Amino acid sequence: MIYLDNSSTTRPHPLVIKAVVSAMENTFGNPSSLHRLGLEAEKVVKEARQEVASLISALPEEIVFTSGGTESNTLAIRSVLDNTEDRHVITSSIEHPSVLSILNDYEKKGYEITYLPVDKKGHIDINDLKDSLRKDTALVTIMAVNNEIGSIEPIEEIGLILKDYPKTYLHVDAVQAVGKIILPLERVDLLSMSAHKINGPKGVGALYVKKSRELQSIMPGGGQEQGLRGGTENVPGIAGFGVAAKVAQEKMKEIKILKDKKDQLAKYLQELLPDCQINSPKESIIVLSVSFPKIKAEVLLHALEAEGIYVSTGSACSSKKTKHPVLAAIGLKEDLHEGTIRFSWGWENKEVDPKVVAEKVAKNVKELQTLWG
Amino acid sequence: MSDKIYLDHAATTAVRQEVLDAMLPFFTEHFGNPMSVHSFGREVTKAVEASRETIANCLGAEPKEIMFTSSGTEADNWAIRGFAQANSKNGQHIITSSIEHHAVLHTCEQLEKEGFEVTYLPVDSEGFVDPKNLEEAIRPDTILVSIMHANNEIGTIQPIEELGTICRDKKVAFHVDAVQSAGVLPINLKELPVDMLSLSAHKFYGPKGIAALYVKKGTRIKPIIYGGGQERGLRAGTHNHAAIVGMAKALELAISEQEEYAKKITDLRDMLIDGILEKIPHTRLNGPRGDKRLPNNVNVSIQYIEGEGILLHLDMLGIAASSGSACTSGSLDPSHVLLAIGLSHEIAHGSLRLSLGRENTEEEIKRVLEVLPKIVKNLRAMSPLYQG
Ligand SMILES: Cc1ncc(COP(=O)(O)O)c(C=O)c1O
Ligand SMILES: Cc1ncc(COP(=O)(O)O)c(C=O)c1O
Repeated sequence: MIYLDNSSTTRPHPLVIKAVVSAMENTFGNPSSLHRLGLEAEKVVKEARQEVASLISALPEEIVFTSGGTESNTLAIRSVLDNTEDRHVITSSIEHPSVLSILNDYEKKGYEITYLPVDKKGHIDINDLKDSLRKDTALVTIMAVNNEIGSIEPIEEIGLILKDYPKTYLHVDAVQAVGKIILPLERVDLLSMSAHKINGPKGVGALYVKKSRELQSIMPGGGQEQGLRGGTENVPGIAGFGVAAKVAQEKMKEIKILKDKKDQLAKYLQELLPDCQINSPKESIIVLSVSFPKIKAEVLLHALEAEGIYVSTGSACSSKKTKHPVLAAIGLKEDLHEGTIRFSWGWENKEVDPKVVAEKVAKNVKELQTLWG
Repeated sequence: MSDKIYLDHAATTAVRQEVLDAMLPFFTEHFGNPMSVHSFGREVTKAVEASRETIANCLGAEPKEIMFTSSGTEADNWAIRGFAQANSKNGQHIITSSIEHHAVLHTCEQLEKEGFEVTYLPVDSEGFVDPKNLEEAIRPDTILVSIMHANNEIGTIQPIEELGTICRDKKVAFHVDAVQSAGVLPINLKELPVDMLSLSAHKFYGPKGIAALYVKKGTRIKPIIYGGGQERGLRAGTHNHAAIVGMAKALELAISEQEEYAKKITDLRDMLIDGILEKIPHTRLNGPRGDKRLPNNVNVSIQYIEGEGILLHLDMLGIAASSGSACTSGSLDPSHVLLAIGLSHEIAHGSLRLSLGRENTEEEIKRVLEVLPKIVKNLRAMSPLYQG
């Protein structure tokens, strides 16, 4: 079996499962409780907070645990926009639906949203950002790595420009970036992460909140997470996230292994199928988005599944809809949208030969093309 | 059983072995994203939907009416904020009680800042909301009433059927925070006049990080967490499917054992209450007696000493308890619930919550009744307030 859908979700690392199960069996207390079991649970959370902070070179007190990337994005955007008079937001046209749909909601409430276009490789133009910034820009929210094509946005340059706009918050959706690239946090105020994208458990994520920035809670409750995010802590999930962060940090040194595999897959596919089109930019680490003319991606997906290869069409989140906003934004011809497959590499693929994958893909694509051709 | 005695089940419970066993395969072989089209995704989708059905069946709801969230707090936040925002055209007045969990109270306070008006109904000395007070508080612009089923600190069970009937008659939506009662008390939403209900798995031997909000068909509610279209577009975020499977298993087990469990635990509860009141002078029970009290809740105020002091001494002996609700126990303010039932600050400070669970035994209760009076005696001997 070859699982090449790691941008959608990853297999929990054995040490992660061990940590989750151990927390369920041994440290089941409520971290808010004053007795020993409570303190032990709190200790588990504290250690995990350090690991997650360390992965992005932040301080432990800058990490707020949430239920996942989606909640982190919501928390970041809502807590900024609900607590300022400024009504302008800048984002890109290829953000994750969890960012775009909440901004859409603010747009209906009268906020002005600037959607920066992207080029063919999914990059925003830093000059567009410069031109769009205004005195009343409350928030710039740009993803670090795109989930569908793997493009890396110029977060550091964005940060440099924002030095002249001290009031404006910079939020970065780094769900696909964490554990893959080094994130320059210097001017980043808020940054979203999700454990299940780095071989951690589902249902847990984090928001980095720069120490010098104050946020208002959007989910008040029992005062957990410095009052920012109420709810009994998901101690086992957090413990698993901590271990996943630790493992991810160690493995980041070897990330080139995965990138090489992705590059080789692209090369073999182009050799075997000269009419396929690579949508991912060169710098993409694990994601390879490829369009095959005259086929339906979903049919190819199932054909590959029968051969034990698991891929996805677009992103998991938008795969049940017919529209492909990211592919449209990079200017991909519409008749290729339906023929687009995403291969995304992960640590469980270290032994996978890209050539074998490419050959199986080519065989199936050719069969399907003759069927329809 | 070890020499450790856990009496803090209202704060959280340990995951049952059966629940953990049900969850494990979903960490290992079935780890997919339910939104994925391939078989990894499909397996997981099937498990999520089967779990939704199980939970719906346990509550007398329809599967479509069960929405997964990450905590009871999120479910409460969502019910109140999501409903208020979706229905503000019809009015901007909300009614709740003064003894709700902070997830409800703080959300209401936020909404007040945003222009909503909130009435906080008082409670009597046992913690009950008077249905007459609710009836009088409802105005033409009232859109939502949120009253908890059972209180987390003093165990008072509200007459939610009666309160809900009033809401129905006046065409006002009714939300019930059932985080403490789900799995402990029977809940049949086919018969109860309830529009939204929160429950949280870690309170009934399920995993942490997963909870649900029941949203009755036809109830309009806006999302508070936006994005990828999960939960019919109302609650985005990749499903925490292992935990969802665990929650369903835990609720199913709790419901199947509910009667037997309630009976056993009520006996232990009353033994503990009677024993404390008999053996320790200057103590009072907070909350009602009998079947209007959660079967697993004991809350007593022990005069002249601090609850935290008792707690630490109990802890040294391996007995885990709480001085109020877990969430407020870190702070020095006395519990808002104890103040609302009319306790003075001093008395409220000396309160102790002992919440029972499935694994507690008569021997454990006897041991508590043996050591607690001694701890109290020693602490009182050092207390400048105590005259003997
Ligand atoms: C870029 C990006 N942001 C946010 C998310 C949402 O994360 P989660 O699934 O943890 O809610 C995802 C994953 O689906 C993503 O790829
Ligand atoms: C009555 C009540 N409501 C809500 C909550 C919050 O639930 P959770 O801890 O799952 O966020 C709790 C528990 O702390 C509770 O006792």
